[in-house]
Amino acid sequence: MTRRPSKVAAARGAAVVLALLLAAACGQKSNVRDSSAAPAAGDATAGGNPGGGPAGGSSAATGDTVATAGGAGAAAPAGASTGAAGPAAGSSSAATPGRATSPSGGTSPGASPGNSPASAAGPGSAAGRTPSSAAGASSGGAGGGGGKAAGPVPVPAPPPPGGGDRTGVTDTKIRIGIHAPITGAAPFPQNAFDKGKDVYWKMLAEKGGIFGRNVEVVFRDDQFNPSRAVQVCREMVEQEKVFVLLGAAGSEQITACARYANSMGVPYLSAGVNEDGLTGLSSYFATSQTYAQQSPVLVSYIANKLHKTKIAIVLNNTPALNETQQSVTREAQAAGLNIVRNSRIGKNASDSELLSEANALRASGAEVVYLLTSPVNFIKLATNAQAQAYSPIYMGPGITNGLNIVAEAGCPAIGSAKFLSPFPQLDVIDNLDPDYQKSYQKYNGGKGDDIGLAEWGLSKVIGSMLQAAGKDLSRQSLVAALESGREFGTNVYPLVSYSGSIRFGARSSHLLEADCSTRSYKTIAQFTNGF
Amino acid sequence: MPTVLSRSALTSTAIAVGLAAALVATGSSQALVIGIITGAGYGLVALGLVLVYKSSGVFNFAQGEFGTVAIYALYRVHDKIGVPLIPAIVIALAVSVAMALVTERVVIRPLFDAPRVALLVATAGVALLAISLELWLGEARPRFIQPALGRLNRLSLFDVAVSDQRMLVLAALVILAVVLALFFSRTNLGLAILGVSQEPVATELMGISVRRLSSFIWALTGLLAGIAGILTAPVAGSFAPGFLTSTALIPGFTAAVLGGMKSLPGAFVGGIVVGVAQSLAVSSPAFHSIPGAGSVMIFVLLLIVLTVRPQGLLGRA
Amino acid sequence: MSLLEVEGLRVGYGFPVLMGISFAVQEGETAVMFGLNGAGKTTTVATIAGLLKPEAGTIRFDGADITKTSAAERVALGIALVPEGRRVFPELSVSNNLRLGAWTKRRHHKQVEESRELCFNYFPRLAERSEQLAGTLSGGEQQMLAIGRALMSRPRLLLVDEASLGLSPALTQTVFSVVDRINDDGVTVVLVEQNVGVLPYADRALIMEKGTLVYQGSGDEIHSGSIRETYLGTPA
Ligand SMILES: Nc1ncnc2c1ncn2[C@@H]1O[C@H](COP(=O)(O)OP(=O)(O)OP(=O)(O)O)[C@@H](O)[C@H]1O
Ligand SMILES: [Mg+2]
Repeated sequence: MTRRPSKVAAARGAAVVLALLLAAACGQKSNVRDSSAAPAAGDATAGGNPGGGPAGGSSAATGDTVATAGGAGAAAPAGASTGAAGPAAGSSSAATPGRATSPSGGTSPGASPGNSPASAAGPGSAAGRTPSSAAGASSGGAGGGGGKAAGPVPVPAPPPPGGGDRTGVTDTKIRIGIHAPITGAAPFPQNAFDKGKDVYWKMLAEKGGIFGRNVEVVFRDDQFNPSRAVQVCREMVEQEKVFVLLGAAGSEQITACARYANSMGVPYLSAGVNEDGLTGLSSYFATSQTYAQQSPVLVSYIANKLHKTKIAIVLNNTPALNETQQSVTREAQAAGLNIVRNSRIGKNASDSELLSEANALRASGAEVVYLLTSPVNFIKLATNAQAQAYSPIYMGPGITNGLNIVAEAGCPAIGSAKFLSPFPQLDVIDNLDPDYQKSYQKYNGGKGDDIGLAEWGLSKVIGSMLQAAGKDLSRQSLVAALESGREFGTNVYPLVSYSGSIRFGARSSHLLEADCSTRSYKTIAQFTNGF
Repeated sequence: MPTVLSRSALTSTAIAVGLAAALVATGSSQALVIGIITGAGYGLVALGLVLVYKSSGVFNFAQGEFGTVAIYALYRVHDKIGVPLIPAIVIALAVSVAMALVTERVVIRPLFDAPRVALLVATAGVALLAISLELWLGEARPRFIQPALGRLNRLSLFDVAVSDQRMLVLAALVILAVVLALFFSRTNLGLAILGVSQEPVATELMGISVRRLSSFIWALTGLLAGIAGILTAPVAGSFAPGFLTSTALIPGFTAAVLGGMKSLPGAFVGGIVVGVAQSLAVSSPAFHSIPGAGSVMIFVLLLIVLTVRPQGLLGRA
Repeated sequence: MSLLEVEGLRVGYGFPVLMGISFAVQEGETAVMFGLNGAGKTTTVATIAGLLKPEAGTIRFDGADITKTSAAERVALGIALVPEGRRVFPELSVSNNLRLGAWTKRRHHKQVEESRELCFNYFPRLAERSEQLAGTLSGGEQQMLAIGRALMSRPRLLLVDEASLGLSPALTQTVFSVVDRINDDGVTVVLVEQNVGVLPYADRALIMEKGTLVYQGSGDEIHSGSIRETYLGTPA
């Protein structure tokens, strides 16, 4: 009757089940909103659409200006990028003058989508449109704080190869896929991404879309877990048949997905993260500065603005960040800073590990802590440090640590933490791009948050790139347009350009600083590339 | 003093003192302090695991999530609805107790005569269910919370500031371990629980309703889990669905195994030992190149105990 | 008056074991139940104690139908079973085993103290070993403890399942004589036995075979008669 197995057997069995449970728990944790089932096996992806020609007879010139630099007179969105300007009014039909569609399926997208009259957008810099600028994308962009007057790039788009892979593209739609760590890395509210993900595309659609095509976004949570990321990317490619994949944040997930996308010939764009593991992938492009590119910017700020010398370096313990650690170490040494601690912490660090690290940082006497971790780790580390009566200045590259949710959750422990960011904060967005709040208000009601802004900026970059790829959009024409060397500016994300060999082509970042009195971040430098 | 306490208390004190002396001697005093204050949380979870194991031979995988559910209930009731803290805590604890009672009634009792493995899997299922409940109560994102106790640096040991909240966790662990040990050795109800773990049929023949006893045990374990959750979440600084399962269940399980699965003082000591081992692993330069050294250390400890001394540090051979 | 009345009792474990047995035990009697291995003796007493649910039949205790009550409730009513194999709590001390035995009387400290005295009086060996863990007692001591523990609930009916199993003949006699004393002190006793040495103490004998009661009669009848040879295979 008493059926007690031997203690050992019970304990071993328990250990096994425990492991299974944990795995399950992690998986379960956050199935918040993906819907689709497991990827079907050998689902063909590419291949479709050999002929390349737009099936439905290229309804010429569907007009549509991409409209970026909000017309309003606001501060100088210098050369607002993607050509077209915000024809504030409805009639986006400003038509696309220069479109030359070669009937041979080749489609040299001569595009240069309309300079609609309204495009005069920015007061200064006369929205540098060059007639020759093929896809009209170019333009001076990025002027902002950095004041970089990017010249027009007179490189014509090379003709894309005949045909091309048009998966995810129809005459009326372009389907793109985004993965982001909605859960696991940061205290993102459940619907923040949902609310913001379509705002830009809705606005664009009202203006005619991209050559008549509206962008449809498939959004997946990668749970801050690389294998999950590959899984969702595979689903998006094989089942959802997205045209292009985007990675919002998270170095390991981005690296994993980018490699998968590369193997499938799917163009993949992400916020700049590591370079290792991404260098050499022919379908990869970074839309903002990589961590390594941000290292000198941060170091120069520490040395020249903060005038601090004792710094500690702390990174999440993922191999993808080894190169970042090396680069920041190198830069710091070159600038004569004294590195008093150089350490890594677990991606999902335990309480004990964070407390130990906080204690070691305090003992090291670092005045500034260069930090590259997930927001969750950052906040917990800062909280532990504060409990140890230690409050250094936290600084780091990043994408997510400069979000207001981090200040909300981390203040007062994070103090005046400063993080670089591909996008500015809400305090300056009305100057840089008044369209954001207007559109957010229009489509969602209420004031847009910074997560929406991040999505807006990313969408805007991608939009300009899709525009540049021309009417006969294919994966090949997109890559060709990106590799052409033309510049893409949005006045939200930094100006960026690529070539066949340059895939980390962003020029600057914004520097954000936490303000614990308002529990939010403010922008202390725009489009900066050093101090 | 009843034998239950004295024997194990003696052994555990000896082990603890020896370990502490070794650490201080080798200059790891900070890791020692950090280990003790983080291990206290593991000990709390281990106490609940031992309680159920002692009485029914079941390893309760849902132990962690009983606690996380309490955190979410507290968050919901206190932060969202605005109930004052103390009544909110009472409600939260009631929620974890209720959850444990429902588990007992719906899952454990019908399976009482099933093989123990079926029960293991069933409790794992309960944990998953609890995670869904948490998602419903509070979304998937991590929540950040501040310790309820205001002053942070009252006490400093070996140059490690020990926050009040951490002291509270440690104190709760000590008090609960002692109270439970006394409960088991001194009270009729405690004896009955021990009895049912040894001879359930004979227990029934003493006029004790084994069903009611089982409900009581699970309620108690739910209470322990709730206390563990509510006390440790502010220390960790944030919580997310699956919080205690992912942060404390394995260390707690290791602590319980270290203590011999049936000894409450053993669970207490086990928690501290696991905490210290983990903090040594994460702070020692020797382990720096190993990613996740802390978790590796816990598994190594678990493996060693299971293979070398399956009866635990304090268990009888 | 009958303290225990069993009527048409049918019990099985998926297959029938007790085929519908009926018998009664008078207050103050010592009844002994014999039968070969597997005859259904344990099943019978376990059902009376409430551990098994009968498919049919009724059990009346002191005139009241208790068929539907739980084992725990029956203890409170005054039925105690010393189970086959003793089933003492091995990791509790002798004294804590007794304390659990007194569960139904736990709020009456004086009664518990008296029962304890009485128990130690019946079995002085237990008093000497009151702090020893029950699991470390000898088989005979464990049997004493099992009986003593059952007495702690102050039963009116004591059911003892194979008290003599594994005991030396001398110890068996000791146990039987203590049970006789218990009976003399007013407790009705039902002994399940294979050992005919118990016969001198029996007021009533019940003989089971394959789930049916094949003989009921006075102890003396069995003690010296052909029945003994027929059913128990042991000549007088
Ligand atoms: N739990 C059980 N499951 C299935 N069958 C059982 C169970 N317990 C007893 N039996 C069967 O019921 C029958 C009667 O068993 P019982 O234990 O009542 O016999 P018994 O007269 O006490 O025998 P013994 O003298 O050997 O103790 C036997 O055939 C036995 O195999
Ligand atoms: Mg039997």
